[in-house]
Amino acid sequence: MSAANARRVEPSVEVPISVTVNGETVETTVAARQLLADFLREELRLTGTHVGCEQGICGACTINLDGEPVRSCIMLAAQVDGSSIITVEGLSAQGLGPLQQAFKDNHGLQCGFCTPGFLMTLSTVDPDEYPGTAGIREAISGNLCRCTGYGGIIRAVRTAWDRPDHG
Amino acid sequence: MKPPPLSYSRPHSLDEALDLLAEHGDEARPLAGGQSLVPMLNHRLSRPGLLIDIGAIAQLQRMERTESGWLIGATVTQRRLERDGTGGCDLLRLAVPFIGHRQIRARGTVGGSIAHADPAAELPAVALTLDATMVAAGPDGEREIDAASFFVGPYMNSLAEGELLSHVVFGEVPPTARCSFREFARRKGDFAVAGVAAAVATDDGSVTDARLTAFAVGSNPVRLSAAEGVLAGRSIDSALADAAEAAAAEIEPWDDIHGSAQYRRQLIATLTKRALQDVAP
Repeated sequence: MSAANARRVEPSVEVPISVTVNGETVETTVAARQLLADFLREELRLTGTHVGCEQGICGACTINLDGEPVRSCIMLAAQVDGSSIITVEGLSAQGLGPLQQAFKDNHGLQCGFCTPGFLMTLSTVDPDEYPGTAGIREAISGNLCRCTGYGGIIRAVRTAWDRPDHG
Repeated sequence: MKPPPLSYSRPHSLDEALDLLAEHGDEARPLAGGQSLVPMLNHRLSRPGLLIDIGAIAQLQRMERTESGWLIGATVTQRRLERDGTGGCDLLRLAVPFIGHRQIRARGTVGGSIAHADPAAELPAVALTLDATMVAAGPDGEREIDAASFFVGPYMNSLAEGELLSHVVFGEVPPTARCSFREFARRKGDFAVAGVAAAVATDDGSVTDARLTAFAVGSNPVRLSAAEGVLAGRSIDSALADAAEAAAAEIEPWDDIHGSAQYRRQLIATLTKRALQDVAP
């Protein structure tokens, strides 16, 4: 049996995990106290996941965990044993994906710090659950941007999700 | 802004979790979705020596309709409730979208929110409205705690040392009941400044069963029993203003940076009125 789903009742400060990140299986040991965001950035060198507030407010660290958008700064790396993760690096194999291109074309970013979080939220949720412009606002309500005033981001999502201006 | 040094365990059965809790006592904290606990660890507001991750215990992930109501396991996520719902007038499903944001609900759990007992939290208010029964698992087996005696202060519950919240049974409302969940917050996803949950049944225009709960206006959610009394036997329309006035009078809100006590009374009057309009036949 691999580290994945192994019974680990005995408390320990080092925790073996097996996790799929952007399609690749990673088997390693993490410190029990290590945050998932820090594991991705410091151990796997996937620095596209940004750490903003470190208290689950700003959304910059959002990743796709088993098909749900999740804040990686308020999760422990130890908790993702057996899971599958997509980070912003995994969004597109080559160049920019359609959502990323729409952000670029519509002024959906300025400094870019919050952008990976927005991209991961928007690429993980089902657009049908968030209809119209109100739905787009709802979908991005858990991500903070201090540059754009959100107008460019909403235009970008309208383009990516193929929605008319007034919907 | 990082968790303090700690050890971690991920038992696969409730018995193993309870053994660990018994062995480590005060040093240990159960970890469910972690959406409140991990921020508290980051802030060093909580410094447990051991986290017992209860996320891999299948028994705590049950969600089923029983004779006494909907049984929801402690680690059922809020997202799962939002997606699957529980049928009927479904106060749970109405309340869930107000919990933080989608990213929080993806990990946040029903048991975690209820055990955390945040005065501004939505699910404790739903539990109180639906006369839920909290089922604690401990070294001597299960113990039932009714919602009214579970919340004993801000962030305080009546679980005993060595006990875990195993599941919650949310009571059923009469089949004709209609539900509403109203909350005011400064921004989408913020903690509530004030909120009201309502489940009201009528027969031929007269109220036969009224349940109203206010939250974020005191140490714990409170049933608005005076307003419920005002509604009994009357039509919602005719009792609307009296019920709102009674609700505002019976709460004991406080002043803080989000609003004065007087402001909260006005919010509760308005939210009560709107919730009752929502449930009027």
